[in-house]
Amino acid sequence: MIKIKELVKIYNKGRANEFEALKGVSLEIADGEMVAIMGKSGAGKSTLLHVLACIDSYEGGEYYLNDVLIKDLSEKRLAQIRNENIGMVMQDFALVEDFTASENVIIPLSFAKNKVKDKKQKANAALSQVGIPDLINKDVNKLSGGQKQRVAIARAIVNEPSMILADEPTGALDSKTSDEIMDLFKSLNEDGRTVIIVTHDINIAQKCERIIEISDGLIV
Amino acid sequence: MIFRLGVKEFIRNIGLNLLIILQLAATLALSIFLTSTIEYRLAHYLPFKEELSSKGLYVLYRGFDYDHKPIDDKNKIISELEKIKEITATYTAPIIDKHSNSDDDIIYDITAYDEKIFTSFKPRLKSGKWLDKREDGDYLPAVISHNWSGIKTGDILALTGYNDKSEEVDVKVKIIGTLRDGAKVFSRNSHDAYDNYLDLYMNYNYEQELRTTLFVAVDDMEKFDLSYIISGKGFITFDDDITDEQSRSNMNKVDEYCSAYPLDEVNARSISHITYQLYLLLPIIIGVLMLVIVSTLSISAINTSKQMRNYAIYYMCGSQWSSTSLISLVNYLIVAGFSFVLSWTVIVGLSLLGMLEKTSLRFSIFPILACLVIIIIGLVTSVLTPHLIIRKTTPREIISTND
Repeated sequence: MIKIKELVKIYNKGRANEFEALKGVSLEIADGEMVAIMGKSGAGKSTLLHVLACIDSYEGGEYYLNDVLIKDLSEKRLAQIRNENIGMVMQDFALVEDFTASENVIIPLSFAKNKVKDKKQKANAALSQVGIPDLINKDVNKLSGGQKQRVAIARAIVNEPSMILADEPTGALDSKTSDEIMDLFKSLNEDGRTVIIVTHDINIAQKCERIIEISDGLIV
Repeated sequence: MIFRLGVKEFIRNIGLNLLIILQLAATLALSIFLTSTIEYRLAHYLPFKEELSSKGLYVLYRGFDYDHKPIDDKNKIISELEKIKEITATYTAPIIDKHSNSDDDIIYDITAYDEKIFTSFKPRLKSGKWLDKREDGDYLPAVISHNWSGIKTGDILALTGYNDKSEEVDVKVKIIGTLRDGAKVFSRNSHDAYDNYLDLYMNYNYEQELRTTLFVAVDDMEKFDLSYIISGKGFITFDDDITDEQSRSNMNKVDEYCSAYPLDEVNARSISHITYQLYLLLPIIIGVLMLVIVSTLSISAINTSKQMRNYAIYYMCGSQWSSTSLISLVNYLIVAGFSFVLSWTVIVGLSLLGMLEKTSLRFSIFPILACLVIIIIGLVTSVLTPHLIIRKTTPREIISTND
């Protein structure tokens, strides 16, 4: 469960170019929900997603993830939360281009706190789940956009996190591929995972259970 | 995982890393030669540091007293002296090969040392072992100089010497080692300078000496009843509680047998000489250190900048931002490992081919330690540089930039 109360995010605090990206956002997302966060460019939706993903910090308010207050935690603890509780999918896929599909998916398993046996097996299972078992040993720089995004999703789910966060996951894909990726997110959600998708595309947003609109750093 | 990522990073930047390996190998080779040079400078001071830093005299035994009688008894020299701790000397004697194939007998020179001297300083040998490793037996163990007679390590010579009654003494001499031509030996000359520690030695060049020399232990000469005269360099050390007056008196009394110079003066000049030599090397030492720091810094910076996106991905997947330093460290360790092996392989190879014979290169622990120091400096730089770079950037900024 995600709970945010009056979340404030300020960039370049104390400097001449100080900018308040989030101005007191409050929302709750229950386990197993599939939510879209919509807004224009610069509204603060990616900022919100990055805070939820524990990639970025915040200056005011509170953020609870599964009843754990995400504030002033050690780097080690935050890394553990990102590894175990969150799977992230980015618009540009965020894959290591020199690795194969399987090697990319293994990355979260390798950073797990407890040593994971059968990493390759788990990675291959995740790739099968996203529909690309035949691309296990292929270099990702030889894959299409849709295939790359599937690899990214496989990496996001391999550690079985409770939450998937996707930042414009279909932004670099054609409409047919976008639909396939959204179907994949839906199936992951049906498995019980919370899925939060940031998008500016209403068609994508409408495939989610709930749409949260954000504008100028506030929930509309 | 960090190790695997470091290896991948090394392979990913293989072209650049190969250049770095060559550069670091050259730096390590330079540090090996530099350390050898410093060690060489000290290698002739340290063996006799105890004597040089003692109270006493550096002496040049003449071989004969004022009455032109040969000096063959150390105790006679120090009989009237006070507060004597130790006397060491060099000894000489002729020895003849009457069984040679030539028409005339061949005369060899014997240069003998007290045990203190031959255990303190070991000259460079072409083969075999030095006197400190000799074994007791029926033979007189000797190290032979470089020679044109073809006598080599392992040979046994039937020679004839003389006892103190000038009677002939037949003795079998076993060659346990052969001196490298041009090697420094503790000097048997009594007319050399006395400026600093370097004057304790002479370079033994066969072409200049024109006579083959056998280096032996003076105790062995006595064992085989061979006579000798005390001629060459040595030390007479005094007890620590000797007074200046007693020192001066001792110095005057030995004048009949040798030229004598206070050890503290020789030591002071020795230290001054060494310090000056090291001072001359200081710019090179500083240059090498700067080269290592600057090159490692720039390469770490380039590698880190190139890898920032991948580091951000690892961060997103659950690594810590500070792990980037460890990845850089693994990459550097691989580079350093190859460089170390390459530099030593080249140097050992050239040495085995005899191409480094005339240099001051020494294979000891110190060049290895110097290489390790260089590698550790590079290691620290390679860990600190990513830290400094990632401090200015957050993973979020990198991830957002790439969106």
